Amino acid sequence: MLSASEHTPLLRLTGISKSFGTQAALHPLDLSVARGDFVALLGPSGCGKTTLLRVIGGFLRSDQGRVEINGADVTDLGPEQRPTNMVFQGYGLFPHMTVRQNVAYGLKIARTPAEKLSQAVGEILEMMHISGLSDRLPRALSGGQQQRVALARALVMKPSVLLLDEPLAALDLQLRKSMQIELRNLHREIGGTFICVTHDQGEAIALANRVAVMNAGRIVQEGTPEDIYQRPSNAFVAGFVGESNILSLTRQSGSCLLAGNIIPSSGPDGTVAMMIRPDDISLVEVKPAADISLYGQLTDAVFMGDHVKLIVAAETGDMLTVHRSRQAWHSDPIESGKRIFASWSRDACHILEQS
Amino acid sequence: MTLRTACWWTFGILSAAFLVAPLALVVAFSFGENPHATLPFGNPTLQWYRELFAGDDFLAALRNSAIVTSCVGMLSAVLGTAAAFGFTAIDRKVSRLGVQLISLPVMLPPLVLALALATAFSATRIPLGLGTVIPSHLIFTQPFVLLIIYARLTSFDRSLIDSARDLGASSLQIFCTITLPLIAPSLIGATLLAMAISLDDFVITFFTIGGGMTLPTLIWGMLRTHLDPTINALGTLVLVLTLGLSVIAFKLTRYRG
Amino acid sequence: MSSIRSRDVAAVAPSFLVWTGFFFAPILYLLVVSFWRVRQYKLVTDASFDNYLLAAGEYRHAIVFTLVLAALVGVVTTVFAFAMAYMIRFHAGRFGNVLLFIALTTLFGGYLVKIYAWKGLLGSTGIINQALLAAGLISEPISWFLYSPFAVVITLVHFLLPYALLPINAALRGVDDAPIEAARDLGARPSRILIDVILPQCERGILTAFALAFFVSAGDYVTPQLVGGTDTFMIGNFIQSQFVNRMNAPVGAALAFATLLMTLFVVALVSLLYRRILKACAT
Repeated sequence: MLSASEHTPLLRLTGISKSFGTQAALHPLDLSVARGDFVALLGPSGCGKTTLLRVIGGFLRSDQGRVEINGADVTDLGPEQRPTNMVFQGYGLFPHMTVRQNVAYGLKIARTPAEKLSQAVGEILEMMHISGLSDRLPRALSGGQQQRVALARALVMKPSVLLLDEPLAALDLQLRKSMQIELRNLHREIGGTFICVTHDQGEAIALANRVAVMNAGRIVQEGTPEDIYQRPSNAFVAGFVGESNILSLTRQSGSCLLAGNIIPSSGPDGTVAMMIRPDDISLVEVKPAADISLYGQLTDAVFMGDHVKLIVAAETGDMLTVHRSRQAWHSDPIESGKRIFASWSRDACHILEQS
Repeated sequence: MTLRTACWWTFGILSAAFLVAPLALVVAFSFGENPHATLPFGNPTLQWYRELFAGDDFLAALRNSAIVTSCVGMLSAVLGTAAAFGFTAIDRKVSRLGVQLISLPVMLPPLVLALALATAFSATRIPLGLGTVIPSHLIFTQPFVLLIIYARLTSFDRSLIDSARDLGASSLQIFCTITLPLIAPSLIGATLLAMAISLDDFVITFFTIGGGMTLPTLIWGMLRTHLDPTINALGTLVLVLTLGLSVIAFKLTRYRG
Repeated sequence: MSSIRSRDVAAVAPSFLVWTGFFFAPILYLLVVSFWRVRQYKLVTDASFDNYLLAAGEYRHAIVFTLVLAALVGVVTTVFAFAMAYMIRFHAGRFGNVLLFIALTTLFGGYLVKIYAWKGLLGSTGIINQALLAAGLISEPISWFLYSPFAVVITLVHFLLPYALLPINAALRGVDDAPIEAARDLGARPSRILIDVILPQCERGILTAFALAFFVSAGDYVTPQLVGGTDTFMIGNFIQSQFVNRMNAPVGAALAFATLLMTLFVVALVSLLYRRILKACAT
């Protein structure tokens, strides 16, 4: 949650839009980022998230709108004049410079006195645990090490906002998980403001304290990771963040009807979508009274490692995905083909307005 | 399978021999006492080199070749690199056409180019000499520099330039600290290649130099007048220079065919 | 990026100025001159097609002979280069790199040296005849080795082989293993794979190689002059002699442009044939 004491956001975008030729990459959008936030711009490829990041960094000029950092208008400034620094996708390390030279580059350009420079570089190398690599060339480093150098090179500039473009995309799964934790700790440790672009919803949720979900050049929902997961504002967000079951219902005078269940929902009459997370559904043999339930047949059980994914073909024709923990499945397995009730509580229903 | 492999290897060795043997023989003859291009080579000797270096013609030709080659190398490096930077910055379709236009002289038989130049120089009454040879060489050496540097720049990692900008560097600082150091091997390689091509050229030089001589036109003169055994020494010298430049050039540009 | 900035124009300008002044303008001028005449060693600027009629009449045999010989060199060089590239791609392993290195190294050096080296090799007292005599294969030196079309062809093939090897090698390297292995898996023999999978994908490289070898051979005059003898006059020799000996630039220029036009025609024809033949051979 935004703390109320910060009256001016650190970064404020107003009415930012950008087209490439006739192709609109960003529709006019607003975004505010408070000091100390870790914001994830999340969306599928081509949704405009990288374009937005490049507009913030000054690598692209927006067609319209304003970019303000610390209250100052930086719309017309290039990246070399903005108090932002970027960790590039693929890192953009200078291949002809050692780790130390890479990290010192920005300070050298800024004509930092030698003593101060070597102290700042030494500190950041220490902090990123790469002091031992300082005389190596980037090609002699592993992916994770290169990632640290890129972070160090940007952080040594003490940016007001650190921009990260798919920072972990090039790493393998194992390393990505541990770097996620490290990135979170780093953010907490230095108390900076980070904006990170990612297409991986798990990564966005794990890293950020605020997530902006983007689709087709628009920010479709912004909030805490929990908000986004628990209360998606539309079908796109529900489908993109986490697994979900989406059922199509008809709403008439304040309630929706689903195979004999009545679900109250205010809004205009018409077709609406209802989203239920797979882990909110339980499978029972007796129809529960209070909950919403659909009768159907278990068609498949897929072992997914930490959980089991069950597919239920409901009588309504809908296919439901249900998650059960491994332990629960082992203590109480269900035969494939068995007829069963899939039920969930009224709290687990999320009515989504069609977007 | 083994028979087939053996056949291919035999073929490979024979083709390597076909490519190398004629040149190797010239080198061998240049160090042998036998003044005719026949076996045996005779005792090893440096006699032909001594005679070659004692000749005034040779020293004049060497001097001219040195002047032309170094001027052409430097000028094509500057022109080709500048053009490559310009072409990289503009629209792909336009730049591709531009690169093809600049490369056109390489496709034309040297004789046609040489005659066009000679005719144009005579029509405009520009006196022939090294001053006409150098721009004439530039025409077919600058495309090589352009092509090599253009290819290097199109594969250049944009995020390096973005990184440098992000860290506060100006255009000039980016060029001096990032771009130039990274393209330097290609640039030096391309320049050496341009020098090798210039140094080896006979046809264009012959028609645009007027009275003077370069190493290839000196060879031509020797071939036309008398059977001079120093020709093998001279040929070896030209081979060593041009092939040496090429080898370094290809090593630097990492070109592997 | 679509708008053109003055800085980029300034960067390209010097290169283009040299190109215009020392390539485009002279070639254009030569084209104009090819329609003029020479009287008493002076250019007369009355335009006619006479020079081209001369090229199509008196010099027709020379042009056709040149085209045939150049096409022969082109085909031999291309086939030879393809075999080498094929070996490098599929059979050579490390030795392939050695071959490529040799080709690359000898590419841009020693044009004249290569020609006169063959003069020494092929002569009646040359090493090849010496070797054949010593081996007892012949009783007297073979005279047609030197100063013959044969000498011109072998010399040009030697000179052009590296040029032809590079584009074909690049094309063959671009052919993926997967389709080849798929074809083998489906039961195709190497010859079938060559025709159905490899050659269609190497079209550009092979045609580039042929065009390069063909163009250079058709325009060369040094090789026929040094090793061709009196019965191997190619059009380049006539062009050169029109300029140098007869001081008749217009006729020389007309011969040059007529030949150039014919070579372009031949290359277009060969490209067409290549596709047709491959299509006919395909399964």
